[in-house]
Amino acid sequence: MASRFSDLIILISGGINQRRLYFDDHPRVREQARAIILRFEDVLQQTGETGFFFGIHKGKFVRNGKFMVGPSIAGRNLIELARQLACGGFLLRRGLTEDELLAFFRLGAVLNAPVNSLQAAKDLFLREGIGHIDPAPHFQETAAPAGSHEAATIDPGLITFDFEDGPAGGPPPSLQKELEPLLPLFQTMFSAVESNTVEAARDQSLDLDRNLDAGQELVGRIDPQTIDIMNLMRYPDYDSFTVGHGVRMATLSVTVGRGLGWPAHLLTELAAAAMLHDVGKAKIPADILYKPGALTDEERRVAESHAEIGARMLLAQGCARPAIIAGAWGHHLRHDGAGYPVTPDWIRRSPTAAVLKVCDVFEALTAARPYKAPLSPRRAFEIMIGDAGAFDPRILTTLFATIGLHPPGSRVELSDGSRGYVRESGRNQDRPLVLVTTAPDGRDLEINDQFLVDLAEETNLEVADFQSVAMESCMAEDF
Amino acid sequence: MSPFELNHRAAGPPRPAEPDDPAVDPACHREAAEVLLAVDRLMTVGTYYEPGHAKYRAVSRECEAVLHAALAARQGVTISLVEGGLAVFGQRFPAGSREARRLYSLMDPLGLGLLEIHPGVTADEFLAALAILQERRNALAAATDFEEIRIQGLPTTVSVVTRGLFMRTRNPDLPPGGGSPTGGAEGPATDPTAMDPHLIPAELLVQGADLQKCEREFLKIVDGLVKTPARSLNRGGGPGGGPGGGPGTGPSSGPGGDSAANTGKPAWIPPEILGSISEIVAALGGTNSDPLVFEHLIAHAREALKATADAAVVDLLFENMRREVMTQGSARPQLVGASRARKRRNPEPVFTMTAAELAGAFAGLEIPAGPLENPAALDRAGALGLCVLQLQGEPGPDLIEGVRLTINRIVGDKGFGGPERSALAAAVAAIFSREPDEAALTVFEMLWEPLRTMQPHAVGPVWLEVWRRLKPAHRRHAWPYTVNDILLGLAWRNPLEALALYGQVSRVRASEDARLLYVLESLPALKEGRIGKEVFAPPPPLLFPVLQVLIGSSLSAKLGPPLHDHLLKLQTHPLAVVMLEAATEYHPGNRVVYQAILEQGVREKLTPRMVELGGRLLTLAILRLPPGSRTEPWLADAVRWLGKLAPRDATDALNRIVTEKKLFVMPAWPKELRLAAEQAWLSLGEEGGRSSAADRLGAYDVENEDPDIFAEPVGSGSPAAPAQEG
Repeated sequence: MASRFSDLIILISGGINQRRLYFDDHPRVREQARAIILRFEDVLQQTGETGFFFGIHKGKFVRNGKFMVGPSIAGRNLIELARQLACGGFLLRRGLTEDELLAFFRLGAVLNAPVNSLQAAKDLFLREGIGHIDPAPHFQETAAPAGSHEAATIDPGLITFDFEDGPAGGPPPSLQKELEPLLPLFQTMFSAVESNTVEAARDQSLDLDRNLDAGQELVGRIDPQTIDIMNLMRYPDYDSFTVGHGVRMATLSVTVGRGLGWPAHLLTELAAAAMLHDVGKAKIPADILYKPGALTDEERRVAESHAEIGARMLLAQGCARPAIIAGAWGHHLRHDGAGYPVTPDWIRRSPTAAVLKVCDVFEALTAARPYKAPLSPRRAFEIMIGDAGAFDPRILTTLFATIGLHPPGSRVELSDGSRGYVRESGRNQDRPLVLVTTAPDGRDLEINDQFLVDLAEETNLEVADFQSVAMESCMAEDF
Repeated sequence: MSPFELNHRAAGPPRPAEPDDPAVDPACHREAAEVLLAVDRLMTVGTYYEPGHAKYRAVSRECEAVLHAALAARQGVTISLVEGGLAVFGQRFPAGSREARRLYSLMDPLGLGLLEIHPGVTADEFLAALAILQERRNALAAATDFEEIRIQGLPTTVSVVTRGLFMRTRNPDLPPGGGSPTGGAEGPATDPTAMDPHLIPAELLVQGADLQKCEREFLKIVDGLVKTPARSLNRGGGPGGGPGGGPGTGPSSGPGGDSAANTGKPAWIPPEILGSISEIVAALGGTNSDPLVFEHLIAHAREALKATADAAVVDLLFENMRREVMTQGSARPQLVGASRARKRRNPEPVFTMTAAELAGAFAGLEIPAGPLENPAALDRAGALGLCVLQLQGEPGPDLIEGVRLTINRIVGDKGFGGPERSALAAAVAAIFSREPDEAALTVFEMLWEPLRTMQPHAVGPVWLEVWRRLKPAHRRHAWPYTVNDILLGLAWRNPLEALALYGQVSRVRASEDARLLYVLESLPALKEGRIGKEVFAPPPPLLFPVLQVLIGSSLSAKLGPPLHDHLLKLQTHPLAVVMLEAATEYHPGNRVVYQAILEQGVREKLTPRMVELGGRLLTLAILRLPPGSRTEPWLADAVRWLGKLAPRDATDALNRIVTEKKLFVMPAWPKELRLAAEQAWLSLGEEGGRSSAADRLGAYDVENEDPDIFAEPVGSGSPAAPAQEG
């Protein structure tokens, strides 16, 4: 059920984004609201609860005392709304209507000045006709037991905003500690890619510096052994996964660029290029982008035009870096000359576009999508090497060498029955450095008892089973 | 026929038997696959799309259509859980196959033997049914004890039958091997729950409340074991407790030692079998994890049930248990965090390559030696090309301005180097590969102006690359613009490149194409009257063809005097020297003379034009020479040339030199000249016998001149000289 909650939060945040793009009565905004209401009612029915509460603390969503990674990354506008409303979360109550949700979206989209107090926020909600969404007080980080008046209790019947660390799914606490500092960065990047889409759809100037700044931060914060945090996300709809795709492309591209030995300033441009590479899709009709079946020839032509459209948008700015322009144009060009858009031979192929091409395919294969389950990196590599003509061989090989068969953060089971997480891919593709978190007898190890095993040295052990973070996340919600 | 179908009793008349051989009927297999895939899609669409979503609706409609098509020819679609997979229309699909995987993973844990889809089903109904099954499966994973699995609330168009408990405890009315539990010949019972162990009517079980309770508990345990084998292996006690306790403790008072007659049990159930059932119940209640012990228990249970139910059912029922037991040692324990992720199979297909093979495949890729060429430069080069491409596509004003700024940015980058220059050259060559129109020239200017302004040292090398890229027939299109830049002044770092470019430009016979001069006249150099020192820098005959055109242009007045001095200094041909000295200075009327001299270049053999113009010029010069200038040093050579060139009025000039007197008696011309004139006169031959001077002198055939005259010098970085200009 955790995934249903995270989906709701991401969808609500997406609704605010839609409202930024359109207006209240726009079909897409209404459709988003309608979809959320249906899902919300479904969740209430499943849980038997009367409402759904989620808290916001330190810039992250919290539910049941646990940070929610995916929504925290994808829901920055909702977090920002909470900050402006001086509240610590929102309670959605049974009976929530589409119109109330639209009003909420509107607030999220247009509110540009903070209110003074929680009461003022509540009054604002009432004035806006939002009767079934309650802003919640901030969490008070005290030692008070759950249920005490000092805890941000919203409704006696609902979950208390309680920060006790408990057993949870996802990475172990030791890895969570590594992920937590990165959340603000990825929030920023997700928000940047989202904003790119809004600006592009509205024919506004793209804030290129925003992307470059985020790219620079990314380059300075991650290394090839950083867990692919974006692969932890589940996307409830196309819009969110399109944005997430751009963010994950940035991390993959930087990893590959590092492997190629590119200097920091080029890596920054590469990251920005990745975040902007699909900006042209903002101009492609949703009917074509969302079409579940095969596209007709004409539809395909329209869909493929996003590359040229995006490049043209960037060119029109006059200040876009050449790498970003070339990346938007050429990320679907094959190394063997095929692909799109049709490009004369005399135009030099861009290395940035070649990196994006490789990362784009790898990302698509290994990410969970609404229409398919993720593949393991190994399977993805098998597929890609089978079409090696599509990719620059140097770049493809670098991707293989840097990502490896067992990317950091993947769950593995070793041949002795112990289990854990990959900490580093390792020089040998098939023998990573593993943090053992569960003993062979199935006993979970305390944090202090967890230990590292370098399979490159421990040759008597090998990886017996593997699940990437995306595979684990997806397989948990198979229906 | 599937063992389950033997026992399944569904509403409606019997359905036609379906073939059980998967090897036959590809069409049937295909249809079966379509049904399973449609079910699979319905199972997944709800994961990611809410019911109102467009995609959700679209997928639902499509899947509904598939099901309806399958139902059109049948009274129902039955999906059976068979060993290792699913079966539809008699076609088998392995559990790991794309078609069956997901549904199998739903039916198997729930112990569903059959999933039936009835006519009239809608996608919504089917989805509702799947939701119910999913919810029950979720509950299964969260269960901590054996519990009764009740599948309730299904729509009328979807039904399921559990597989675990098709056993029927026979009553005397049952024919051997199966039949209606209600007796009689009316056929199968209509209530599918008749076989449900939790719902089997008492009259179908052995008599005696304790035994019935025992049997129910046994069946319940078996059912629970099938569905949650892992739990059963770890538990120290089952719901029956140990021997002597709980509902499984009936044996001592139950069927163990009582005769059938005494207890009223049906005679067809051997007492020892009933005893075994009781023992098994007790033993299973105290199940331990010893596989061998459990094997024995299974064997006993099998024997017991064989007497009461269909053998195939029993086999299937216990095969799962056996498999789980035998694989316990290597069974995958749950991973950390599995409370959220249920234990499930890896959905991926088998890898097609081992890890080593995969690594080998990557190692086998052909990668150019050395690091990737400057990526930033290549990106700039690529973007530059895209700028040009956009400009060629009728862009709007915003895009034009953006492109212009982008070009300026790229060209002005301090890293601007080889790749960018090549990109620029490629773009310009593309422009000049045909007669450029106004739009093309606008693009050219957008590319060229920032180059001139921000990278002046690159202008020449880029022009050189442009000329090398152009086919010979197209180079004339670039000629005016190149000459314009030469006149404006080029800054070279590599003199050999300069010579190479001048050689390329010189090859164009621009003097024969008035249009080239026309275009050149419209360009800044001629409009502003600028003559760069470049034009006089290269060694002859480089740029002579250009000067030849320029001396006939609006620039001639400005060009003439320095050209006169330059040619005089070069001394490209003895006759040219004499002619220039005879002319003394540039005069516009003598343009053709300079053109002839430039055309002559450094060739030894005279061109016809030089023969003609040389003769005329020298004759006129001698005839008009003032008396005070008759000692000029060039006169002797001039007289000798007259004898060679044989112009029309040569005799007049020579005669005058020989015969002219001053003061009636004294020769007017110096002796040296008179002697030379006499010699020349003699060399002219008899009147009418003069042959063509050109023939006698073997004047140079310009039409067939050596094409290598303007070949690029070694070290200019060029390949072999291109073909002669057309």
